[in-house]
Amino acid sequence: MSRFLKYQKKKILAFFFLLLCFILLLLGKVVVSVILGTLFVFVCLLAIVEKKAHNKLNEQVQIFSPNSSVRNVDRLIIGDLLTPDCEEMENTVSICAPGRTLFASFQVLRHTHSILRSDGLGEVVIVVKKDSITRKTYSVFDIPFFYYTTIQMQNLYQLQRKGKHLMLHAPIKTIRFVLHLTNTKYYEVGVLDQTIDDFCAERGYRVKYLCNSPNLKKS
Amino acid sequence: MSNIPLIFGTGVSAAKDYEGLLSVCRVAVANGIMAFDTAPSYKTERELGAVVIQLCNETRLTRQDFYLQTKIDPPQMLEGKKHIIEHVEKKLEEMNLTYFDGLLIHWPIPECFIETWKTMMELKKDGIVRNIGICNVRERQITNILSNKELEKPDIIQIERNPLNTCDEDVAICTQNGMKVQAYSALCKMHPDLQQNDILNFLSSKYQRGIGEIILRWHLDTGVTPIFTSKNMERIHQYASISDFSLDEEDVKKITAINRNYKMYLESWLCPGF
Repeated sequence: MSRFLKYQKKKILAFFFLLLCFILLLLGKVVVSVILGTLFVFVCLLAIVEKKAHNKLNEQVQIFSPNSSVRNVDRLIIGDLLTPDCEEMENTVSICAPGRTLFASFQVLRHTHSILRSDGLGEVVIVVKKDSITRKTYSVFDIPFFYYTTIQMQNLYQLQRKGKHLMLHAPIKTIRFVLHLTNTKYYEVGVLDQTIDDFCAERGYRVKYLCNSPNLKKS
Repeated sequence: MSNIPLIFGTGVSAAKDYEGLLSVCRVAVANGIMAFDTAPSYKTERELGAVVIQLCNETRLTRQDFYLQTKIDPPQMLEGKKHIIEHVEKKLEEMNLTYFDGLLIHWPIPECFIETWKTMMELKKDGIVRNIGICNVRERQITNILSNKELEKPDIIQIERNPLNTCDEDVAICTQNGMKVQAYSALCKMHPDLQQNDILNFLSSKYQRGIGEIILRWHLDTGVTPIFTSKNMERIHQYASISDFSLDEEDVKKITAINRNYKMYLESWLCPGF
């Protein structure tokens, strides 16, 4: 019984909430009932988006697990959201999230680059918005890609805790992440971070930077 | 160390409890497998120590007949030199041993690799460990270590290796520099691409051996010590008997050609900045 309650907690709560709304409606408390009903729908929507965001993040993370068959890909795209057609290119792994900084992209790259082919033909694509080039911050969408040693060394426990409630801590970004909302136009630009270039060169990967600033456009 | 044909692993998919581990190790030892691999993250160190004592009591074997190797995991690496020494001493006490035959860095976390390696060099100098090594390094890292005059050359390199990921360059550089190569995931958990591979199936018929035995033999014939694990007694017996046949040179080449650089464990995922 306790097991049933544990897993069906949300459904039971929703049932009693709807029941309360219904009883209030029968008692003639239409306004209260409508307010509570609207609140209920809103909370449900939040929960659905939260779940979808976690599922999407898990899908991205699962690619790196030992059970995944995705290996030796041609291209690894890391950074801000790109249009779906760009992200879904053949033999490409895309780890994009809204507002990802260049700093965070490098850390994600440090954790994920082994998925690329190692014959010198693997390509890293870093997508960054102009205002995220210099910001040295991580977001809740970066943490799932970090190994516990990184969390420990950089003391990211607080951000890790925040990552359990995406809609609470980054509601707009979470909605954008789930619905893949982006209309930003990106241009191929020159080297944005020499450290990333050196890191990739040492491992035999090519690097391409995409940024929304036409001023930085590669000539 | 040079005469170890096979190592019995106690990591993923191995028996973890004392009774389970004792029964598989008993079969392994009865079939001549005397080398065992463990790590803090496998949570089998204490049990393995107890198993070795039990097997010594049951037979005429002594500690010296066994080859026992463990690892330094990232949590110990992050704690620093003092903690590593304390950790190794604690593990020896837990396992009722006076020395380890092998001590390996499990994942070469770049931020603390040098300090850990130097500590391990000290432990070797003090006789607490006989051989030191590194897991999950590739040609690039091995070259870096060899070019650093302050660092001692590893005795052992342990890598994920099987016919789907033959690591030819890594094995070559180790062999050229006198480092012993050990292969984990030696059978790649019998990946469907291995089970259904025409060459392996042909060789299985030719030598009248199972595909697993053919692959383990290929490791030996290419100068690599495979680490395997099983809870199946019959299979342990089969795998232990691979020393009574060998593959033709052409067949070894055919198996090596299966390679497609497939890795189960992505190094950078478990060792950021790899």
